[in-house]
Amino acid sequence: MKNGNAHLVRLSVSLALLSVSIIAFQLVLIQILSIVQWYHFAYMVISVAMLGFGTAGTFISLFRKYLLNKTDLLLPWLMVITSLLMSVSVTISQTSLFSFDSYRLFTDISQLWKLIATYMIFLLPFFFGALSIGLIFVKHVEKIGSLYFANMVGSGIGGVLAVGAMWWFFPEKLPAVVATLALFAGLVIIPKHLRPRFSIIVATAVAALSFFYISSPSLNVSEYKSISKTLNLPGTKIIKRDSSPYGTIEIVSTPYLRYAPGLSIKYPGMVSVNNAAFNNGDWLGPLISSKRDSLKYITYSTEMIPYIIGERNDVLVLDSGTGRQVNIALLNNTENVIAVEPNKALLNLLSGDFSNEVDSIYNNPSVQIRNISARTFLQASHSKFDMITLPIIGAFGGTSGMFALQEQYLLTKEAFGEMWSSLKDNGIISITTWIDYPYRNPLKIIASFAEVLEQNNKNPIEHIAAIKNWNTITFAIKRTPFKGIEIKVIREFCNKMNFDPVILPGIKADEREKFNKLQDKSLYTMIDKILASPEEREKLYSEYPFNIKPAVDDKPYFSQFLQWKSISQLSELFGNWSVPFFEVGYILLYLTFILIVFFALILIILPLVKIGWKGGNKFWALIYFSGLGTGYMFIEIIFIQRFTLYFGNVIYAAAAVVSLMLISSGFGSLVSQKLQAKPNRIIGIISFIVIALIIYTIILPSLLKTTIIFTLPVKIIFAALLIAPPAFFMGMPFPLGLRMLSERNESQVPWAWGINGLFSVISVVLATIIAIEMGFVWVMIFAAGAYSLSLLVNLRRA
Amino acid sequence: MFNIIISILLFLSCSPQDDQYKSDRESMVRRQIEDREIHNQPTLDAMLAVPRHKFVPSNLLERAYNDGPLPIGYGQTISQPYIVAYMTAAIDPKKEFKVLEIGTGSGYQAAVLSGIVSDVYTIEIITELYNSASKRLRGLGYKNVICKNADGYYGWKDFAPFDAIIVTAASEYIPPPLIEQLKDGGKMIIPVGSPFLNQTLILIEKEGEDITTTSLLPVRFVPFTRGN
Repeated sequence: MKNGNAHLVRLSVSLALLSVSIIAFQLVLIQILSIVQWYHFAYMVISVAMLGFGTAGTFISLFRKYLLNKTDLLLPWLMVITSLLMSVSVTISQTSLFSFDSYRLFTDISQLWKLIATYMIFLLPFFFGALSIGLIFVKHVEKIGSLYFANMVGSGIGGVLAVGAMWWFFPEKLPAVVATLALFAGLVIIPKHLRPRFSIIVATAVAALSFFYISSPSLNVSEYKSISKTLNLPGTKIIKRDSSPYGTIEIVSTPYLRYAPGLSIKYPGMVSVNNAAFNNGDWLGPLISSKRDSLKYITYSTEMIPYIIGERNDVLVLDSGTGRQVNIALLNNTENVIAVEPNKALLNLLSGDFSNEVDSIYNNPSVQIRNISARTFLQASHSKFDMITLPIIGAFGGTSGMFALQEQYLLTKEAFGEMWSSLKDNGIISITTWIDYPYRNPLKIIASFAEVLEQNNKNPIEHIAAIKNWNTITFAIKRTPFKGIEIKVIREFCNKMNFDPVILPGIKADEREKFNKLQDKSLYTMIDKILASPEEREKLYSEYPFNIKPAVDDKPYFSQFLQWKSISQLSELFGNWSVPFFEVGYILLYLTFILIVFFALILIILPLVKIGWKGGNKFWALIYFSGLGTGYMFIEIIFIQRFTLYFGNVIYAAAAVVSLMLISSGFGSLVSQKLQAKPNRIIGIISFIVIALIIYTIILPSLLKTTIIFTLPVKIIFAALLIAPPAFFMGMPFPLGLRMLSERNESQVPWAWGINGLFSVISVVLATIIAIEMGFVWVMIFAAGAYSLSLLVNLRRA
Repeated sequence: MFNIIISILLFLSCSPQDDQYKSDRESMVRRQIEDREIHNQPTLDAMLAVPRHKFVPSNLLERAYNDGPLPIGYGQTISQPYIVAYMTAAIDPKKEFKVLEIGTGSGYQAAVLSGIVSDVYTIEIITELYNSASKRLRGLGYKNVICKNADGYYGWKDFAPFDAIIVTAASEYIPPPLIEQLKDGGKMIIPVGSPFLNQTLILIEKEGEDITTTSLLPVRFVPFTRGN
């Protein structure tokens, strides 16, 4: 008995270590793939790779007898292999043979093969890791409560550990670091009599991991990423590299980079040469310094509009980044600037080592820094400002949907409403966007503000001014109506700079095309329709092929413009192959979903060949475990979404929510070990979960909004009190169900475990689709629905 | 007699592969350019004459005349044939023109211009691309193309003013020196957007002190008629 307990403890420790390693590896992979490609592709590759869990379930179902007979011998081997594959897969994926370029995916078939090869490479460590976990669960299903506890707690710790490790190690070093934990997991459970034989294998594995750590692969960054293009310039080099959970920041020194969006064609002088910052290879911003060059060119930009019509003493710069807007404010003699920037690593660099490169703006007594998300600041602050400014929207030339799946809480109607409420009487919100084609970004911005102003009983035409250059439009939304003198000053500024007014009280049609003409003039007619009346606006929303309806907190996807209903219309207008180029991310999301569902179906059906198609508990198992997998993941995603705004930092919110949920569920699972695995018991637990979800759907948003002003420690306690109770109960149905199944038909246990894993993977992608198409509130409703299904199939058995 | 021998040798040296490229080129001009409403004859002639396959990397030869851009390394591309034709036609090139190109890349745009105008000055900032393009242009006998390895921001003051300037790499703003070096009545064209995705073009016209820009709509993009 004593030996049995000791074995269970060793097994649990091993399982926990392996779980830490797998979750951490998953996060590390996302980071690495976001650096070499883009976030969307990271998301897609990981989603497919996670099918490794389902594949393992199918594999155990097919070879159950053999695997269970050899489990004790196999487990250490499998864990050592998992450990090595974690390191090897990353190294191989970065070789030219496998490294794919997402930019060329739709134009070069060879990239597609490389992408498929990448899927396969990354599927392997997940498959072997999951095989180890699955074998432990299936072999010791009577102790599933305790083992699932170890699995959940390990996974919870893995998330926090990975986030912490990202401060200490560069991403390319991390695979070897997290792989060490999988190796330790294997070491813990080597049977005594095999230890001498394994010592050589372990020594070899340690040597291999050390080698992968020391000579970690250089990341093969896409040649089309901003940083790669910049580094091609002669004399350009990276002068600082810093890793953090926000990404890898690189400061690049270059004798050639000039950044002057919205610059007037009339500007006669030179444009300052800037060093620049990049995050995960994407452009962050220039490091502007007046010590090197004259910054006079900044005053020749459309972004000057708020400053030319009045003094701006209190300025709020949201998502201040490298401080370009802070610098513009200081150049315009602003007395108080509040710079809100959530990226701590960037702030550390710009107020520390690189302070001089940005005129020490972040150490300037006139500048106060707030290291928090812009939305959280807006919700918690009661200050009023003369001006609120945001970073330029979109990317030069359009991003083609690279950010379509990104939740952008700063660009929702609620966010614009909060900005409006934070303005002084004469205050202005200033927002600049690149002019894209087909027109999307400027239309969505103007639609958002038109709706916000109407909600505040204001006539949008009196409060909005917009001026354009050849490639940018700057909008100024003023708290009080624009006065005659202000309109005159704007007109004079436009004439002097070769800009055209686009929206201005009393504007004439020919004014819009004096200097910068558009061959497709529908931009103006659509802007006029948006401002004319809610009816005209709604009509345009429904007729326009792109989604230009304002984003809202429940559907915070500002950059998502493509919609299914118009795909055939767009193909007709622009050609069949043009659609992916408007919004790659949106198309990829659906492609990923189809791909995963296809493989999942195969993996679910395949074991039936072995365990039989009919009878037993198959229908029950399928509905019950798919419902649990879906429901759990949906709730996890919803909690991350709700608490991101609450904590003001997506990374810490995600880490906190995932860890709190998994650890609470782990304890739920541990307690479930003492419970009898009976349908009535399960019905009671799931009923509680469903009721809790319904209550949370109604009260959670307002509860979080009222308590957002609390201090961070209070907020963490409050979040724990909200998350832990439902998560505790959510940890019970899975182990109870597995135990119940094992009592009736043991051979179906691995199949059921696989179903749960597969639906967890499907749910992550499905939740994003539901959020984009219907809103997050529906994700919560579907979560309750999924749990209800699991409940219903038990009612039949009670 | 000597002439006959030379002719026979030339005939023999003209491989079936070259015939294939010629036919691909004719098809490219007809389907990708003329059918999309570009009818500027000097542009069409030049596009027919320039062997595009000599400007693409050897591993992409079979796609040289495809309707799309191709990677040439260093994050750069040889533009889609249609975009090259559109940019060339947009400046309405004349025989006596002196044209400045910013961003030599593979040298293909310069080669197309070379067949139409009197002088082409082309600047490339990436040394490796400059080396290969200038060697290629020299080797193919484009004698009226002068290359320089430098920062295009400053233009080429020694040969200014120019009748037209073609900026082949997308730029967030128009460098003031380029405006300065544009002749009165001159035209400048600049692409916006990624070559692999949606690219539109901006035409800048200078008339004395007046400078106007026009955001051009490539004809493959049919405007949203309902918006008008």
